Amino acid sequence: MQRSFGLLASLILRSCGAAVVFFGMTAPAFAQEHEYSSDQIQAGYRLYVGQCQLCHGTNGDTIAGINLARQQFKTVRSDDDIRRMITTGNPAGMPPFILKPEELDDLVAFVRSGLDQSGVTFRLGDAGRGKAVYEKSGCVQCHRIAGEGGRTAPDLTDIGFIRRPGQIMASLTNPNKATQPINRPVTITTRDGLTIRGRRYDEDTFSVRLIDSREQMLSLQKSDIARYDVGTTSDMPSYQGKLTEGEISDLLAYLISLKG
Amino acid sequence: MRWKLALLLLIGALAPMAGNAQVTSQRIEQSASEPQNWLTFSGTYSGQRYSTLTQINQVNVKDMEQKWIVQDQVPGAWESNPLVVNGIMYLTERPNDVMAVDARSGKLYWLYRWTPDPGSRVCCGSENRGVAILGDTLYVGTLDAHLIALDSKTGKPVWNTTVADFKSGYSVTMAPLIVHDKVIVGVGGGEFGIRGFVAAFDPKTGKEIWRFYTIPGPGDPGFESWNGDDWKTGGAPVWNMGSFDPALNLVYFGTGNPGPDWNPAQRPGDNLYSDSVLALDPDTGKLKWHFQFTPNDGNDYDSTQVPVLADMDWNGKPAKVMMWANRNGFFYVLDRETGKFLRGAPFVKVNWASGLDANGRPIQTPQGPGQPTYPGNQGGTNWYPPAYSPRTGLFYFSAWENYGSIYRREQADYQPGRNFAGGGAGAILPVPGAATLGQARRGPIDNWTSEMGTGALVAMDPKTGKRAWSFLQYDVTNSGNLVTASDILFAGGNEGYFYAFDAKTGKLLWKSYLGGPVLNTPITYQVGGKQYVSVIAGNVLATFGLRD
Repeated sequence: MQRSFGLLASLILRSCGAAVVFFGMTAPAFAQEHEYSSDQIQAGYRLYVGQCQLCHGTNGDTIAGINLARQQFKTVRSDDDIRRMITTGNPAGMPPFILKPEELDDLVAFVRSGLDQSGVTFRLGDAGRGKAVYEKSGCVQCHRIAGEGGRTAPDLTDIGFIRRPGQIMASLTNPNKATQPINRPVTITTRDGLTIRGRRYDEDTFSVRLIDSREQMLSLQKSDIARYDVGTTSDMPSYQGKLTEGEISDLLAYLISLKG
Repeated sequence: MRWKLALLLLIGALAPMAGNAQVTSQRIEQSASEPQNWLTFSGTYSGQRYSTLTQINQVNVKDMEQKWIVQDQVPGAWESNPLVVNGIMYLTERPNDVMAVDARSGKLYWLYRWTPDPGSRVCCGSENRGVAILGDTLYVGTLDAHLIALDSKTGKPVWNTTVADFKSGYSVTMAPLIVHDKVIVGVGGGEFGIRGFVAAFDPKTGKEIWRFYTIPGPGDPGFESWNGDDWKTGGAPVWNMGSFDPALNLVYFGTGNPGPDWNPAQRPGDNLYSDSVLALDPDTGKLKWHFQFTPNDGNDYDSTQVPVLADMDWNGKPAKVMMWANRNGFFYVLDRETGKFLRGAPFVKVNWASGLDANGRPIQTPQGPGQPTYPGNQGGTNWYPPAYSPRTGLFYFSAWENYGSIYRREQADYQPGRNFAGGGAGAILPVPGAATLGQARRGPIDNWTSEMGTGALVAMDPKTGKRAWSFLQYDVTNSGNLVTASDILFAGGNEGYFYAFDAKTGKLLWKSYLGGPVLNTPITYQVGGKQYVSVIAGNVLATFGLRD
């Protein structure tokens, strides 16, 4: 069993490697346009488990000052920096790793995906253009960044820190599936006959706290609630087809640049 | 006359110290007769967590107020279980700190810090579940698999011995168990390809007296349940407290998952004695009987729950039973003398097995790739200790309901000290394909929603296998339980509430919000004539008592 799997894994790695030579030659920096494929991310995951996890941990956060899943590094900035660090190691104790160029690309893809084991393909465009896309597309009506915008949808000031690129991508293209369960819209009718629509901060056995459509923070006791509905869809529209693929990749680059 | 009065007053002041004799094995065996103390992890050897203290009762429990707190100095899940001996509380905090606290005021007497080797590996957090006491010595296991003896009055080490090699993934997270002047402790590491064991140590020297491997070696009975060399990395850790029946002279421990966790195809066979209960002779470590709950487990259904022992009428005859709500979603009653299966039924939604046969063996119905398995990876219940009241005849435990996982099964290659899990598990979400919340959901704001599963405090009638009552919670619960002779059941939950219920009916009598999840279990004790209840929630140990 073990041997046959080893062969399979190396075949996967080789085929991925062949597929990424093109990207490898372009040597993209983080802010440049680039696509990280699902195959690359998943191959990177396997390499990570074997080569990196022992020191960096499952979540990439076991070395002080470094959080690979959240793109928190001490010196590294670009994809090339990551490749160089893996290849040369550092005096702080990271040993040099001898890997093929395509394997380095795979590891970069896995790190850039936020250690996304499911390996969703994502394409990063230009963050500057993405900011313009954000501003023209109505996002600001509901979302807020650094004190500007609405509050009925989640504040995005640190979205690039708390969400993986694949998750943000899914939120843009298929929000009904990607929305976090706690963010689904709720409609509450109190025993007093008041109807409240909003988004929850948290809920427990006895109470719920939410921000309503007038951006008021409310705390309600369930014993005061007559009717309580949790929406099955997100209030956010899908931008699939509304924005071009290029605009979406620009918007994604902008959103993941928001680290709070 | 005055000096006589002074002497009387002095004697009066010393009265609480009257029981200050050393903690002997005999005293722990009879700990039910000194309910003012909490001498061993479960209060008594039976695992019942039943206290005969009755000062706090059904009428005045509503007047409970917070008396003092201890603040955890180390952030992270706090699963410690305190002991109380003659007004002094002994507890641990992450990773391997031990402290002695005045059980009347919460003030520290001393703090001992052990820094485990940075190379220590634990799957699921730097947990430690508490200390054991014998004589005036405390015993604590460490993440780097040491066992350390400490002077209970100074907190200084007496001896320090190596239980196993942490470099191969071994650790100790459980509180040791004292039986017959031996310190018994098991090892964690079921996610790292260890070969599990439980061992007894000399309390004076730290020398190992016996060791029982939870995976049989060549020539041992049960070895045939493994294929090839799989047994060498087969897991079956012992990472939670056992129980002891002095009359039968049997000590019982539950064992954890086989390795690799999620890929049963890689280790064909029953994989004995993973996911089992073992009945061992505490003097020799010899196996008397075993019962395996989940053969060839692929869903991480550790059977490391605390065995709960009780004597009761069973089909018209007196019986010595063991009750067990298992992580696999079934509630079992066994004959603890022989290991014979008496009853078993699911207590939550279960689809990995269609039921149990006449011997209690599950009829497994594995779900296909991408299909949800119930209960999910955290189980129908888990490490948090249950309680049993001989007054109500009910067994109390925390359950996760309507909670499933989708498993990913992969070949795992063994490398010493490295993760040997064979895949993973993701949560079932209300919107198919939605982003998972992952493990990081427990930030300062609890963003769990009930569509992913809910919590229940279950009062089970062991004679019928049916619930007498349940208290349903919006969030899941990892809380242990404590029941008293006033028929009060104390329990918490992930939401951060600490509750007192009528143990007979489930009526909520009192609650307090403590701001963090309860991840182990409350205890009760008495000092200075007053009953206290202590519970850890989040980074706080809070102690309650009646209003003065």
